[in-house]
Amino acid sequence: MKICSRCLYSELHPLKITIDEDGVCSGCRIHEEKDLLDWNARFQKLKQITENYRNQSGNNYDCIVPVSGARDSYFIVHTVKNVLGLNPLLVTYNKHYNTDLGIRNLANLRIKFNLDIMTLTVSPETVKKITRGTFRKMGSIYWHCIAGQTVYPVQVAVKFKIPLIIWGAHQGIDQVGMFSHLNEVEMTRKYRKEHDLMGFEAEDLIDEFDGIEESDILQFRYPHDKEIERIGVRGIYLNNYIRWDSKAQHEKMIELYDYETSEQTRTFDTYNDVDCFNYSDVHDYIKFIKHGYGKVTDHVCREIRLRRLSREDGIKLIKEYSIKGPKNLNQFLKWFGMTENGFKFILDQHRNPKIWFRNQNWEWELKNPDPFQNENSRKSEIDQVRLDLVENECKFRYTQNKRPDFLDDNYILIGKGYYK
Amino acid sequence: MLKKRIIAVVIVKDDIVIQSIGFRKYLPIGKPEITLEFLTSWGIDEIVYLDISATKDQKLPNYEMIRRAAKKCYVPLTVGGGIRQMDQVHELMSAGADKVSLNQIAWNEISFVKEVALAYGNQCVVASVDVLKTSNGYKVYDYTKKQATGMDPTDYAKKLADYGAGEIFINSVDRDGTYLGYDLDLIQSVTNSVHIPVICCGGARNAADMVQVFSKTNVSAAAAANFFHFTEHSVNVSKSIVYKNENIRLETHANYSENTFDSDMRLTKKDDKILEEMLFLRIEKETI
Repeated sequence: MKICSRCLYSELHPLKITIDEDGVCSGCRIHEEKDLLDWNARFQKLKQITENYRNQSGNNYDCIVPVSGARDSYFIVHTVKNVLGLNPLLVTYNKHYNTDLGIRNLANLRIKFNLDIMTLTVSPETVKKITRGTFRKMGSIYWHCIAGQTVYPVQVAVKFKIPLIIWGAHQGIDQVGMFSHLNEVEMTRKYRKEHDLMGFEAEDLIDEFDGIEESDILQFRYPHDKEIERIGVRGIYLNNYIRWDSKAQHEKMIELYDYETSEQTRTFDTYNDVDCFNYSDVHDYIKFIKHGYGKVTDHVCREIRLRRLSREDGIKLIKEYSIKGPKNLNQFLKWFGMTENGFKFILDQHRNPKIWFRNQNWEWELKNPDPFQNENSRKSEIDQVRLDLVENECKFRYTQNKRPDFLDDNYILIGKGYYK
Repeated sequence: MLKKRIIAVVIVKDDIVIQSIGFRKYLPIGKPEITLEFLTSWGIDEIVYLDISATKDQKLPNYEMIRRAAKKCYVPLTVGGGIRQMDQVHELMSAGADKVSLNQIAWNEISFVKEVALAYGNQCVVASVDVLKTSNGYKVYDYTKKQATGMDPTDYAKKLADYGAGEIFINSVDRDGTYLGYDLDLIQSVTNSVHIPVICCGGARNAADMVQVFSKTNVSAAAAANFFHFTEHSVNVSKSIVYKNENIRLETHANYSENTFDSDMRLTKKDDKILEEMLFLRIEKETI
């Protein structure tokens, strides 16, 4: 298994990755553009694009901004509303696994920015049914969240004839260098199906075995090509025009708008995905089982490339967090209506045979328990492409919990939406 | 007159669709079957699937992957990469290919071109020629040795046509992934030298380059690889732009005939009034 000589991604990355002759991955190579491009000029380009989408009649919004309340939401809304001066309509797909803090952050977002928001909450029974199907078919409990997050903004764009959707960072660019920033990649149904939805469109879930019918997947259906064309829907990504640094951006948002952070189970990043009980917990544990790595590797690679973390410290963090078990599994199983044995049985069908094998006792074992064991023998290769650190420590902040006495142990389907 | 064609090139390396930049930098896109599925549904005329690692790594074409991808492809599919023997051509045809693209094998053993043409017809053979611009003019490029040969591409194209190639796929190495536009001189010189269709590739930034190559050369088809990955409905959008000047096929339901585009050939916003009219059916206030 090849590992990039600069960051710690392996060639088994599910979004696919290429490694060049110097042993450096495509993600690191594209990341180098962040230090080379003229971001002022790129921002001007963004301004020019969005300026054309300003609504002239005053009867409609200028654009749509999909938000969750966490992960870059504040920064995107801040940029769209306060920097670009647009009037966005916020849309959010209710992911069902909401934490109280997530509800607070989302409420705070719309209060502080004083914006309209549309929320799609699919019936929990339908969501459970779909999740049973996706868990069986692809070992994913998060398909419905990603499908909802990526389709609801497009549905709203088509329904309300708001042709521009503004997204934050394109994962394909940021993680594996799928595109250059200069490609100015836009939202496509193709990327969504292949990478976000793991190859399964909503229609592919209709199945007698899972009891999923046409009516169950209605809310996850992508609008027809003709509808997209008729309105001229485009989804642009801010990281093509703004030098993306999620950590620095979140820190600015904490100062400006009181964004709340929280400790996470399987990563050291306290800023992203704090709105969800499962993302860096059960979902990330599943990712580790399926692909042999977790969110912590994504965050470590990001910080190595942004020159805040050394490769060696990154390896320590990966070793510390990757093996952590999920804290909220019982809560999920209770909601889902499944036993732990049943959960493990299905999950085992999705283990990547390149990473796992059954040992003599018929237990699962990692083929390569320490993927970083060859570090010493690769030292000269690694040192050659090593980036100098620009910050000496990579520290993530904790903010004070705004409801310290509240026992946050249940998914909040619909929250109150204000806090004191 | 025959319609001009817009062709998507799907470059595959180590079983991943990639963006190729200058024949040396590769960015990962994803799975061939999904790429082919969407290119087809977006209305592409033909697809050329090129496995660039097969010959280099002495591997066979990945038939299973091609079979899987071909199932999603409802337009003529040309497959290239790793072809050395006739039985490989048979296997590719049974896996769903309609034509084969021959590059290294044609260079090393030109009689193979004739052999395939005799077995499947000339239309089945797409002879692929990589060309590098050198100080001595255009030369055929050998990508396995990473150097230019002494051969002039027009002479080589003529020879390939004589041996039964049905089409010439001309790829400009220096323009690969540069977005500088097609190499018009090269393309014109090759189209002038042969009487079979020529497909040009290398350097296309967007549909404007396709419009230009069709207006300035006699090329039969314009091919592009990378930029089809960047935007939604990239194919029908590009074709709607080319359609204004050229006789091409534009038969998708979403044909973008009423949309406008900016200088980068990206979609621009429709007029607010048009969008508003789509929003609600307006009923005039009744006055008595």
